[in-house]
Amino acid sequence: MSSSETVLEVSNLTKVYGRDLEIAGRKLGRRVVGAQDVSFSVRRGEIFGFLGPNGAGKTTTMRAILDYLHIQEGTITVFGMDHHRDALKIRSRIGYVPGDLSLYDNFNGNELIDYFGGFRPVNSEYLKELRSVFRVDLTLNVKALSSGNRQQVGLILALASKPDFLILDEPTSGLDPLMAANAHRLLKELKAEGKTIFLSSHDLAEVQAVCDRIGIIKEGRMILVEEVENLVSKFLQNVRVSFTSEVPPLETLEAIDSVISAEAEDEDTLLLKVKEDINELLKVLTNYELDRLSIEDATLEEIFLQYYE
Amino acid sequence: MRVFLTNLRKGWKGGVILPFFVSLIVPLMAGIWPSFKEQTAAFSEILKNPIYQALLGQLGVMDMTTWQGLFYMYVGICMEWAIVFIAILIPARIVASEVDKNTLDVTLSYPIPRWRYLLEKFMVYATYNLLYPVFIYVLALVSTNSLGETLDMTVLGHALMGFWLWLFALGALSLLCGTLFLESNRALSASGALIVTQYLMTRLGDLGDLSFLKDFTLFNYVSTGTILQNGGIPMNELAVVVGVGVAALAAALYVFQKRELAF
Repeated sequence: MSSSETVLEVSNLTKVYGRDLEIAGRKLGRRVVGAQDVSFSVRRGEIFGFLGPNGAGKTTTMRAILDYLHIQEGTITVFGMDHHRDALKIRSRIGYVPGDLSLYDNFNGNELIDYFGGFRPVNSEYLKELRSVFRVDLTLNVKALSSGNRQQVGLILALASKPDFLILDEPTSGLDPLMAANAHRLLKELKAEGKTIFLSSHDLAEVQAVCDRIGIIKEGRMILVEEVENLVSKFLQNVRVSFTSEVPPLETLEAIDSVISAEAEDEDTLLLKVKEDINELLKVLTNYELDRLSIEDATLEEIFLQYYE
Repeated sequence: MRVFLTNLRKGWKGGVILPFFVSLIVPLMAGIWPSFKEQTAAFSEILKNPIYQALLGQLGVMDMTTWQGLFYMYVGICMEWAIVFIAILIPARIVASEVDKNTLDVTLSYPIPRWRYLLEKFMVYATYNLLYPVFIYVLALVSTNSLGETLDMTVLGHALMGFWLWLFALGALSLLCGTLFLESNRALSASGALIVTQYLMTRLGDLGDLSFLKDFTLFNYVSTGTILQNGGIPMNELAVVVGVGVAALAAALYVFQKRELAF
């Protein structure tokens, strides 16, 4: 298996919930688009971050991959197998942590590992490591655990078989910083071993720390797929420019395609957000006398907010 | 069989306690029988009232002045009511409660066919239901011997098998409601409507002109009254109840396997 092999391929995925239904002027049903023409792929040995605001279609996409949902259009393949026809074969090679994790209250952690291990055998050596990394008491019933500890149990269950492909919906939600850091380390180690991870998160520091590539979904549509490194350097820059005399009108600067926003910091200084190519802006600025010019990469958070909005 | 065995082990308290408590009706009746025996003539007169006759159905033809007559009257009514509640409340929630709690999300990400998962969980329900016949049979044997009365234990075995078949068939219908609605309140409402309607149709069917209603209710088949009159389970009635139960179970498994889980 080469490292460039595609593990997950989503092509033109469209999922619509319900339908518009109106009888005698009363709305009885509503059509909601969960995902619209979503396409992306995840390569073997990479950690792919899947981002988007609440309700953007992240969970819909993950559930479609798991064959919980019936998709209207498109194809999904995992390890080259059809997600619906070969669902059981695929599930024998994946680990999953849902966003809203719920486990059987009357089981303790060890019983859950034993129960689910009957469906997908655990890797005993790796389970030992997981037990030492996560500090949750696996002899306690799930109902006695805090949400963070339940999340740790969920991660142990998903990782216990050391699966080839992990689907993680906000995996570190509720974990304390130490446990979250441990989880990140485990994910990186799995990646180094050639495992593939498809991860959704609202924690942008987490995304920046562990992901190789990200995809941003908004209103059911995939609007960006990019390497994290490129995203930071290429996609958004903050430009602060001070003028010695005349200050260009904001409208002139906002008319430039690459300028996303322009605002006056004080009467001599402007703060500009510039996307991708900065050269056109620099050409315009040469018509004015500059006192000072600084260009900084935007933070990942600023970039995401740009797309989210 | 992992789902079956694990849930059988985890659910033993509820699975054993409920049949045990329902079965306590037998020693309770045995306890009151010696003093009750002297008033049976008056009691039999009261039971001639059409309302009581409708409530008792075919059990109304029993001779209430004997231990056997009283036993079947009480056990029959008690079990019918227990079956109504059990068949509504438990199987409809096998799937629906998991959807409510969102536990299926993790479970179904493992390589087990949905139909098999559901079948194994239903088998837990069907297995624990075997305790009703077992407990009642044992307690009836002990009580009858201690009273020095007689009770046809072979016919009792058939009657208890009839109870289990009702629990199976009505439970399968209730399970189907659970897989169709995937939400506890709606599933319970549907299964309640389906089962209570059948029970009421049986009772109404005992009131003269409405006897045709009884053809459409499972409570009319393999009933205790019929088994007592027949001396065993009539094979045609057995086929109806088993047929309905198997068809409903197959439909529930199919629906759960195929349907979208947009919870």
